Amino acid sequence: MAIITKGVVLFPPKPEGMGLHSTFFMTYLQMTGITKYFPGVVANDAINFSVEQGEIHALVGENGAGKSTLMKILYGMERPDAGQITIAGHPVTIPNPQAAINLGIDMVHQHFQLVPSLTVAENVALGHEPRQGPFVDRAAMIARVEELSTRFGLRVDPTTTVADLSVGVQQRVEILKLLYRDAKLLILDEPSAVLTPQEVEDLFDVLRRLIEEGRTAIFITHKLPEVMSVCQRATVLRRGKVVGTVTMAETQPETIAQMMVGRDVHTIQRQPREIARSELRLILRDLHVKDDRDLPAVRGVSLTVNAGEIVGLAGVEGNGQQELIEALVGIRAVEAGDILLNRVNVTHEKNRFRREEGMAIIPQDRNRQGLSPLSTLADNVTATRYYQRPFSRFGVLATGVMRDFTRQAIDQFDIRVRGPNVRVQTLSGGNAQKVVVARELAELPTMILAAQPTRGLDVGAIQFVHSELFRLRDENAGILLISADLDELLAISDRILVLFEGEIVGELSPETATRERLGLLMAGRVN
Amino acid sequence: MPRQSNPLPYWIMAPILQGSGGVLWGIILWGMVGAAVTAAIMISRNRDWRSGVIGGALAGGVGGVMFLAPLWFILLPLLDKKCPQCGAVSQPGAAVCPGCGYEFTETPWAETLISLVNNAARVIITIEMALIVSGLVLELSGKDALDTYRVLFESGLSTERARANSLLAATPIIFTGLGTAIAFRAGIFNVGVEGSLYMGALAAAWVGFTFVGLPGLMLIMLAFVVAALAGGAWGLIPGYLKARLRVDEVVTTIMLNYVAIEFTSYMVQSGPLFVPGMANAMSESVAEKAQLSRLVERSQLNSSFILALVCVGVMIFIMQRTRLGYETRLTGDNPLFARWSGVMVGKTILLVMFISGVLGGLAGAGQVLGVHYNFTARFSRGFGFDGMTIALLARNSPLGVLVGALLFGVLRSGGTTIEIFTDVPIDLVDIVQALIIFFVAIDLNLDFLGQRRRVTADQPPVDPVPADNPTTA
Repeated sequence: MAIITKGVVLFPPKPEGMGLHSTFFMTYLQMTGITKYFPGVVANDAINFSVEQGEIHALVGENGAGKSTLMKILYGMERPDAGQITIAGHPVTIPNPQAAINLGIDMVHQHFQLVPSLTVAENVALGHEPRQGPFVDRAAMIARVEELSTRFGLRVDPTTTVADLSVGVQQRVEILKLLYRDAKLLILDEPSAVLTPQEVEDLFDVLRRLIEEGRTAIFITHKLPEVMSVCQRATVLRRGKVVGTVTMAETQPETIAQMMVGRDVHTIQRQPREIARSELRLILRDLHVKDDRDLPAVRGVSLTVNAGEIVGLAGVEGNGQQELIEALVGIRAVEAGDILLNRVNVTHEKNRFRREEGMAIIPQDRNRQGLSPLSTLADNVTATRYYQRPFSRFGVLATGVMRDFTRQAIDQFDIRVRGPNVRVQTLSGGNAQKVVVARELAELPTMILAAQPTRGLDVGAIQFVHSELFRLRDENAGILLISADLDELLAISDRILVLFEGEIVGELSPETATRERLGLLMAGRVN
Repeated sequence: MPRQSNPLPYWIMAPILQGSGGVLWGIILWGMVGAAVTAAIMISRNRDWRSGVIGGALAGGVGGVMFLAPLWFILLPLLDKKCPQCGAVSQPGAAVCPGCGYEFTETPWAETLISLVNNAARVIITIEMALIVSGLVLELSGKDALDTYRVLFESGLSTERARANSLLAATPIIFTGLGTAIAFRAGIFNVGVEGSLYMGALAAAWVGFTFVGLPGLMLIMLAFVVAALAGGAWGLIPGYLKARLRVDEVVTTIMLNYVAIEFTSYMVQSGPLFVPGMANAMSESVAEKAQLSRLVERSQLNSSFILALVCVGVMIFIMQRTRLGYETRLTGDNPLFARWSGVMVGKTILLVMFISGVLGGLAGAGQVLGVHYNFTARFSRGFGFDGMTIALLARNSPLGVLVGALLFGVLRSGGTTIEIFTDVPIDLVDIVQALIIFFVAIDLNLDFLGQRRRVTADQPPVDPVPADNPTTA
């Protein structure tokens, strides 16, 4: 439980609040009945969430569970449709991040908000520079940053340029920035996702020092070991609702895992079926791919996907999945190795060639890679076949055929839309994913790449996507499912491979795979 | 001032400028249009059409005085709709009736009507706002704004010759507008049509005085083809840099404009095409048989205007009905998605930049063969820039470019006259143009209003937690 060693009271409660907070522990943050709707989705459904002063409170849940939305509301980036926030007993409204910062709430974003060309001290002090007359007092600025950095063990040279720092050190700068602004409540959005294990340990040391000072932290993550090692309590969200709040001292990680997943994910049961081992849909042989910074991202991946088989590829994001998909899709160059699609070597072929060989792609980023939100439904549904007959002849489009095809897709995939000429940006998440599925799966592809195909979708839409994948599997398509969602992988894969730092580090069957075993492999612990 | 009898009632464009008669006709015309359009949309929304007739007539009539009637039209898409089954009224974006679950079906003609009316209204309102603000500028500098505008529109529209001159002024802008529009539609901010125009103009002039042995029609065709290729090739340079090397096209096209202007000037001032003894920096004149035929007496309006109209048709076809148009739209809307779907984005950029340059080249050829009969250094008075304004105003629709260019033609040719007959300088037209860009940038349409309401309509009903009861478990 939260223990305030020095009993620092940062926001003394009002006298009339004393009755409620007469215990030693003080509720610092209270969010009550927070509800937030997005078109077609309830992101937060009457969430009650409270954090004691001086604790590290984990907010856990799978992607799309509503963690980020809740924290965006707290940080003033989103307005709740209903609900109330109190800080140390005072009701507050937080219309924008500046207001949050003024209340002592500050956030380390997953994507750092730093100016690469400025020094560490300049970044930390940005907007709140100590002044001497009209000028910035650089000496005072550097001294203050140095003081903070020693006090909290955030080792960093204030005069280096941020662009020259590693990701882990950049994160320290982010935390320094919060401390410089004297944040009382620090929100850390998946801070460990980009760190090495040693850096994670360092981060935890810093967090512990922070709470010793009486500060409070909310730690967003879906890595259970971290939650167990550093947090006092955890609140579990699932599908926009609070499943429960647990105290670490009295809880096992399995309990939290079960709370995160619930049981409704397993409504679709895998039916084991004979897999035609002879029909290889996809073969990767020692594939090497580099990322945008020209560093190796995929390092010698070899795998096969058989006809009628769903192969799951597990892994923490950022371990080469994006580069692997892009190489498979044909928009990122392959450094070495081969890609064979239905036994045709497509390693250096264009995307269109691969699609004509039977490849279908459900991209990870729906609104950027999978759809053109500004374009009409008809344009989106026909985007991979508009150039072929009967959609066009001699360079001239058959708009009637395109419209009919779209209408048919609307019926077949039950897309809730007024007509083919509606812009896709008006559709809800689940509906939009149906458009992607309709385009990619309408004409029986032989090999499907599905990257996070159910991310951010509600139960109904998830079931729809899964049943479509099963349908295609039964039609003898090979499916490579790339997902960070272990339950999805366990629920629908015939085999699960684990990707870690660009390499396949393990292969499991869903019968033998457990969350723990997968978790260890995903963390790079092979044995 | 040649105030001849007026065969064209130009009050259609500006009723208030023609005194009480114009105002009367404005009220009647726009009242009728308002009644018809509003009633049609009320019917499509299953509402009472009679109230639409009355409301539309009133709104159109009142607005018709100033020609502000479109202001009403732009609000029409926000009309609520009524469920034919249970009679419940719901917001315009609702897909399903909240009362009884009736699924609203699309009425395509109403959608088309709304988008047509909306686009027209947006253009008219933008121009009107620009004219109103320029009018304020005029009044502040002690001029009579209404009188100035009256002269402007009369001298741009009132006689056959005035109208011919307006079309003449519109011709190059139609080409450059189309060229800019297709590039903008592909998401390429091509500012370089002006450069292509110069290259095309020089090429056309060169063909026109070099291959004089060819028969007239062939010579003209050859000149246009070479000009188109020259302009297209000029457009390919930034196109290639963008498609293959990801060089920002804004910078390259602006710089290449200067290169084109200076290069062509050099060619006629001291380069190979320099003509000794010529006072100005101009090339030899093209052969007489290479000169385009005039369409109207006492005006320089020539057959390149007809070519411009043909190009409008061709561009509509390309954008709406061809693979290239599809690829252009997709690349413009989301280039990343286009790549993931197998569209060859680089190839599309190259093709679009080529076509953009071709249209610039044709604009230059039209001016050389139809108006000047030679290449004069720095002859273009910002035709490429005008084209950009119009493409922005028209939101890259070819038909909108035509309308916008015709309007600019009136302003340009009328502007020349006001300088002669009033003490208002032609710079007024530039002020109007700048204000149009300004108001385009502000984006005078109420789409966003509709979208906001649509989002609300799609949301499930909220069951709010009472704010005074924070202890709800």
